[in-house]
Amino acid sequence: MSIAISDPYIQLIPSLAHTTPSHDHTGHVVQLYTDDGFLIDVLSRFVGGALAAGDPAVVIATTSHRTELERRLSVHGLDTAKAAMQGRYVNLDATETLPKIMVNGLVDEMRFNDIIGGVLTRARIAIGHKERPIAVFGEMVALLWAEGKPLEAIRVEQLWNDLAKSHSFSLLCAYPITGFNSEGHIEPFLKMCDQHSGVVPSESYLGLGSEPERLRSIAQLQQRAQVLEKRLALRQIEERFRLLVEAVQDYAIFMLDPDGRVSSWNAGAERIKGYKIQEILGKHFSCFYREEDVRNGKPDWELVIAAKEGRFEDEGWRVRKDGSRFWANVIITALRDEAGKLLGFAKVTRDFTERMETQKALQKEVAERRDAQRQLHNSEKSLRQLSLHLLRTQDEERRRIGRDLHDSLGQYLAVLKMKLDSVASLIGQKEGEAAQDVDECIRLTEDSIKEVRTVSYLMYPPMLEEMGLESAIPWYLDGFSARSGIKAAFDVQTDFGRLPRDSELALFRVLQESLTNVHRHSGSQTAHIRLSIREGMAVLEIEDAGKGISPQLLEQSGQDWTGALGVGMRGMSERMRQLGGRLELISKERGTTVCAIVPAGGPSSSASAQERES
Amino acid sequence: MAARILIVDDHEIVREGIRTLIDRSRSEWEICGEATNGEEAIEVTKTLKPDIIVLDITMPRMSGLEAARRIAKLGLGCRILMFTMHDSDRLTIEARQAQAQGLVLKSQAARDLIRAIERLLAGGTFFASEAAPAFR
Repeated sequence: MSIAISDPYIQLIPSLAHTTPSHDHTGHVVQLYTDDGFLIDVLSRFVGGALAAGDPAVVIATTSHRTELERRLSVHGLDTAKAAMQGRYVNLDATETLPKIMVNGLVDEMRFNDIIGGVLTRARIAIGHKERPIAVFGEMVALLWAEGKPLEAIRVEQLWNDLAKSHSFSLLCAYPITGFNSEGHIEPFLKMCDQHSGVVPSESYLGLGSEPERLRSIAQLQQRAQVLEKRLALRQIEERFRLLVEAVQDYAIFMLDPDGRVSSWNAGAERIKGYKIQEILGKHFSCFYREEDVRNGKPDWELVIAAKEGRFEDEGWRVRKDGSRFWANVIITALRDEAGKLLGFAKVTRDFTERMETQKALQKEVAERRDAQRQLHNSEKSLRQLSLHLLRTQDEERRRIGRDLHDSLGQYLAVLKMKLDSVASLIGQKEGEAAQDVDECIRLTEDSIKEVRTVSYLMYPPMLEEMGLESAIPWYLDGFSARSGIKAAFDVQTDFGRLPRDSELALFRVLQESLTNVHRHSGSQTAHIRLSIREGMAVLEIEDAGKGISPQLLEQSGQDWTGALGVGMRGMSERMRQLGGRLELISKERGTTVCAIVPAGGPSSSASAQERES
Repeated sequence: MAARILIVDDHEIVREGIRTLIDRSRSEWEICGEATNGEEAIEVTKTLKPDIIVLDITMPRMSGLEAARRIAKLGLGCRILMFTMHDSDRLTIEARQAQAQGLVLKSQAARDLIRAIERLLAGGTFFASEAAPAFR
């Protein structure tokens, strides 16, 4: 609804600015006025015009207005008494008539139609049913308005309009402009205006002489209209907001007075706390707290903080009407007027029980998982240590067995052969069968020597200790090529020198493992081995030209890619790490390169050194 | 031709074998001393100044190769014959680099040892494994 003057239903009739509303055409005009004298002017012209024309007039006005009107009409030479005698002029007291159309404080349609309709009918009869409009002035609406019953006033206006369907009359209503002095009147005023075919502004507007003054006045009216419109819109927003708050289900939103008594309640509050609005209004909000909290003065203390800080937030147990507990998130906000006076508190409560329980469960799960992770980490660590220990033990054991085989059994066999050779030369060719047996023994001894050598060298290459990688690798490659048929090339950086025993052995084991893989899996006919020192690191590369490791296999192995190369390489990777180095794997469509890197000077950390010594 | 020979090996049985072999083959040769590791070999060499040193490679404390290198540096004119279980071309190269004049495999002692010592006494070299196949 708008009260802008362009509204087609409410015409602010400029043509009436200097004239009185006329009874000649039917309609329902409202006259706003400030001064009684002005109203009487308008009224006397309206009624006087009708009576002078021989038309009927009906006046339902306040006593003072009636008296003044009579006086004014008689001054103008109109014989109201005669007209009244003829039944053409009906003059009723609004104060007396109003109760007659009311039942139980409400306007009654039937009574209105009976009484007012009756008056109109009688007036018409008085002029012999001529088709002349009756001039009607009514002031019951103004009385109702003044009594603070704007809705009833509007009802009367509506009934007048209904009556216009069966009676021909020109109705003039009047309201003192002072009656529209509060914001609460805005809406009823607009509704009231709606009931009229014309609104005549008060004399303050009509009295304006010049066009600029009127324009200014209109501008002011428009401004006021805009202000009113804004306030109305704001009120509508407030109303909608109130409805929204009331409808919210998930939050308990309610107000407390400064002493902590509940002064408003929404659906969410009822749902969460279990109280109906009528049973909680006026009660102190400490009933939402557990007994021990109340004993400790928690509710009051919260209000003190909220009043002091402006806001208080808390999470904790609260109690429902049925005594059950719930985990609540509570925000209390102090409400103050413009002067800073405490009006009360707004309290928003949410039920976080589920969330709290979920969080608890989550925390428990996280803790459990962390524990499991720690355990896993620990067992992984000890597993790693164990595997390192196993590797070292294995190395030592191999070395011991290799050396034992070579140093004792090998020597015995060598000497045995030496002796057998002597026996053979002593016997010569004389003793046929004996010589044959000795020859057989010599061959068997030679085979045994070879066997022992092979086993012992694979266990532990004695050359490695004697001469280092630079010599041990080509020596090993000779044997490897002979056994596998794979051509192995070896490049070593000049002056490669010696590395710590552990590093040499570890690199040698990588070489052995890698070449075993080349032989078993790659299908390569060649292998290229490079040994060099780069930036203080000894680098051993074993490259083949085989089919490579499939990306899937590499991916499956994940970070622990050495898995792709089997347990042996994984052990080697561990060994490299322990020595402060690493094992890298590059696999392309054609060929795989294993790259073992260890510090050329041995592991620097004392921990590793200790490990090496142990 | 008389010769003074030092035998160096950490295994008694091997030393004994060599002794027997030499005694039976060349009684004029004298086994002037024995040692059981590289360090000992150097010390004994300094004292005995043998003509020939039959030197094992794999020994505790100091290997035969290292001992050969050091003995050569002494400049005593001793001829060094490496005597080893290891059958490898690589080792022949190593032995040459260590200033040894010969290398005999223990498994071929009966066949090669006496010949090798004779070759060395005559001022020559003897590297039997040059022709021998690589370790299988």
